[in-house]
Amino acid sequence: MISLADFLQYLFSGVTIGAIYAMVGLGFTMVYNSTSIINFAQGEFVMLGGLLGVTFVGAAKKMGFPPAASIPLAFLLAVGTTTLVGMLMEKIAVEPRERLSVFHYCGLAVVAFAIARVVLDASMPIAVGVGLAAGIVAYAGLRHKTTVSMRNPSVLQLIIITIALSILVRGVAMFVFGKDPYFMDHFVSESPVRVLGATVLPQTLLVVTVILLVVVLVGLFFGFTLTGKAMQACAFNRDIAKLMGINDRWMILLSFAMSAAVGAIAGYVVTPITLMDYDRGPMLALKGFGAAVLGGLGNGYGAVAAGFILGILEALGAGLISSGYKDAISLIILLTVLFYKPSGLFGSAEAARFKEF
Amino acid sequence: MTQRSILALATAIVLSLALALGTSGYAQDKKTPLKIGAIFSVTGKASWLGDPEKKTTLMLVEAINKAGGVDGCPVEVIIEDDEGLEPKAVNAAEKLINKENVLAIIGPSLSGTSLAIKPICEKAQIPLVSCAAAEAIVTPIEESKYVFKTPQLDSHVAIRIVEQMKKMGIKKIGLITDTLAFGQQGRKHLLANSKEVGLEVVADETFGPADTDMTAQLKKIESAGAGAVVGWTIVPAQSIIPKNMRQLGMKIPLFLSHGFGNPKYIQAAGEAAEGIIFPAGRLLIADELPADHFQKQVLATYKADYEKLHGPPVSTFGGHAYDALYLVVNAMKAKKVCGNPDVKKVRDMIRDGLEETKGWVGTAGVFNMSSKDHTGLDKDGSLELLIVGKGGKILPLEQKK
Repeated sequence: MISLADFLQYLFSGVTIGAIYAMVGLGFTMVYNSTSIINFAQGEFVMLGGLLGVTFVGAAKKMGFPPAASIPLAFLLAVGTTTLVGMLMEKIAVEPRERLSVFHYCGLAVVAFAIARVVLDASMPIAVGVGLAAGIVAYAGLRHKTTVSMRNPSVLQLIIITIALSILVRGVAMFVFGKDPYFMDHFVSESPVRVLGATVLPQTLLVVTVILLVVVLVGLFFGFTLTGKAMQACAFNRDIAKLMGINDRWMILLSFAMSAAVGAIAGYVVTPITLMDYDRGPMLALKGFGAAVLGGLGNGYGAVAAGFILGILEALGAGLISSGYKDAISLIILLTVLFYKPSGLFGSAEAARFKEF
Repeated sequence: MTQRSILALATAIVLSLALALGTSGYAQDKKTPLKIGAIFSVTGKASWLGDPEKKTTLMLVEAINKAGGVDGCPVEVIIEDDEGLEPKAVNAAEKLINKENVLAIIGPSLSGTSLAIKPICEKAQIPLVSCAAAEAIVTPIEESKYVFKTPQLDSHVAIRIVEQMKKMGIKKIGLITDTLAFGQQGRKHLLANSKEVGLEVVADETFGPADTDMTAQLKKIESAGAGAVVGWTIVPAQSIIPKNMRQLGMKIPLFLSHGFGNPKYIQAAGEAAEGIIFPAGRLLIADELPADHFQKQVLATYKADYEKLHGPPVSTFGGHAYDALYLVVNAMKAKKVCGNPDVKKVRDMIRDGLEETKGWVGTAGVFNMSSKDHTGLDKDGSLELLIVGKGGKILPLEQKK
C-alpha cells in the first residue's frame, strides 16, 4: 500500500504543477470578467515573464548587483515590460475603434522592417528605410479611412484575435530569446525542506505564497476599490456601465494590464523550478483555461482552487495509476465535472446566463 | 476598406518588398547547381534540434561551394521548416520532390517526422538521409532502399547503457521516458535489452514533453526499489529530472540517452547534473580527445568553425546534419553527377553512392554502409560513455576512473 510520505510527495508535486495553472487561470478570469473575452495569449504572458526575468537577472548580475537586489529589480522590470506588452496588445487589436491608430502604423513599420531584415536579409539602414517607407505610405493612404469592422467587434472575433496575437508574441520571442531553454537560480536555498518524509523545495513554498498573495490582492482590489467595482460593472453590462459614467475602454485596458502582470509574476517565480522556453505558452494556456472553466468562468477564487485541483489530480494520477495516463485522468475529470455542472465547480448557473459567451 | 486604401496598402507592401529584394543582390552561377532538400524542425518544440542543424548545413554549403562544389557544380540547399509536425514534414517532402526537383533530402530532425516521410521518399525513389535516431527509419531494410540515417542507433545506445549498469552491479532499474516517438522507441529498446542481460525493470514511467515536474514519477521509481534511473528523451524537460531527483534526495545514479547531448541541457540542470552518465558521440569531448584519435581532426574542425560563427556550445544534433550533408555530397562526388541532367537517374546514382560509403569519418563515428546496413555505425566506435563532472564539464567515463 502507498505510504504517507509517498502520498505527500505526490501532493507537493501536484501543488507545484497546480500553482502555475492557478495563476494562468486567474489571468483568464480577469480579462473574461471585464470583456467576456477568453484571452488565449495568457500563456504567452507567463513565458514572457519568465524569459524577461532570466534576462534581467543576468543583466543585473553582470552590472554587479547582489542577488538580494537583482531578484526584486528584475521582477519589477520583467512584470512591468510584460504589462506593457499586454496593454499594447489591447491597444492594437482589442480596443473598439473607427480609425487605425498610431500603434497600427508603427506595427506595420516594424513588420516591414522585420521582413526586410530577417526574411530578405537586407542591411540595417535599408531595412529601417523599408520600415519607415511602409509606415508613412500606409499612413498617407489610410489616415482618413474608417474601419467599420472594428467599430463593434464581436466577442468571437476578439477571441480569435488573441489567438493570432499569441502566435505573434511567440514568434517574436523565438527571434529575441532563441530556442533553448532558459534557467534561473532559485531565489532562496535550493536544499529541500523535509515534511513527514516528503520533500518540498523552498521555491515551491515561495511560489504558493506569491500566488496566495496575488489572489488576496486581486480580491481586495475587486471588492474594495472603486476602480475594481467599476471593472466588475463593465463585466455585468458594458452599456449600462458606460451610461453610469464608467470609462469602459480604460477598464478593459486595465484588465489586460492586470492579467499580463499576473501572468508575468507567475512566469517569473516558477522559472527557477520549471525552466522556461519560448514555446511554453500554448500548453500553459490550455491547462490554465481548463482551470478557469473547472472553477467556473469568471470566478477568480474558483479558478485558483481548480488550478491546484487539476495539478494535484495530475500528480496523483501519475503516482497512483500511471504517468502515461496522467493528462487523460485530469481531463476526464474536467469533462465529467462540466458534464454534470456546466457552470463549473464554483460557478453559478444564474450568472452564466447573462454572459455572451 | 475602400479601393483606394487597399491600393495604398498594396503599394506600400510591393514597394518595400521590391526595395529589399533589389538590394539583397542575387548572383547567378554558370553551372546548374545540384539541389539538395533539407527538412529540419527549425521552429516548434524540437527547434533545439533543427536550429543547429540548419546553421550547420548553411555553414557547410558555403564551405563546400567555396572549395569548388562537386566537380565544379555548386551545391544548393533548400531548407524547409516542419515545426516538428508530421503533416508539415509530409508537405515539405512533397514540395521538395515534385516542385523543387531536388536530388536528395537530408533530415527531418525527429523520428516521428522521418517515419512520416519515409514512404514518400521510397515511392518517389529519392535518397533520404535522416538526422533522427529511431531504428525503424532504416529497418526493415527491404522497405528502406532509399532511406539512410546518421545518428547512432537507439539499440546501440540502449545496449551501452544496460552493459554499463550491469558492470556497476545494478540489478533493478526504473525507466522514465517521454511520450514522443523518440522516447517510446528508446523505452522499447531499454525493455528488450535489460531483459537480455537480466536487469529487472521495476518501474516504467513516462512524462509529456511540456511537463514541468517529475517528482511523482521519480518517487514511484524510488519506492519500487530501483538501483538506477534511466531517462530517455530529447526534450528540455530532461534537465528537470536530475533537479527533481536531488530534491527527493535520491542517491541512485541517473543514466540518460544520447538525447542529452546538448551542453545547454547540462547547464540548465546546474549542479544536479553532476554524475549523470550518458552515451553520445565524441563531439562533446572533442577537446579532450588525444591528438592521434581518428575523429580528432573532424570534430575539432567542426567545433571550431561552428563556434566561431554561432558561438558555443556546439551540439551533437548539428553534427547529425554535418554527417548527412557530407554523405550526400560525397556520394555525388563519387558518382560524378555534376552536369547530368537526368534527375531520376542521378537520384539512383546518389543512393548507390550512399550505400557504397566505406570508412568515412564523420562526427558520429566511422560510416561503413552496406546493402544491409543504412546507418553504418558500430556500437563501440560511435558511442562513448560520458559523465558530467564538476562544474558541468563533460568527461569520458573511462578516463575518470
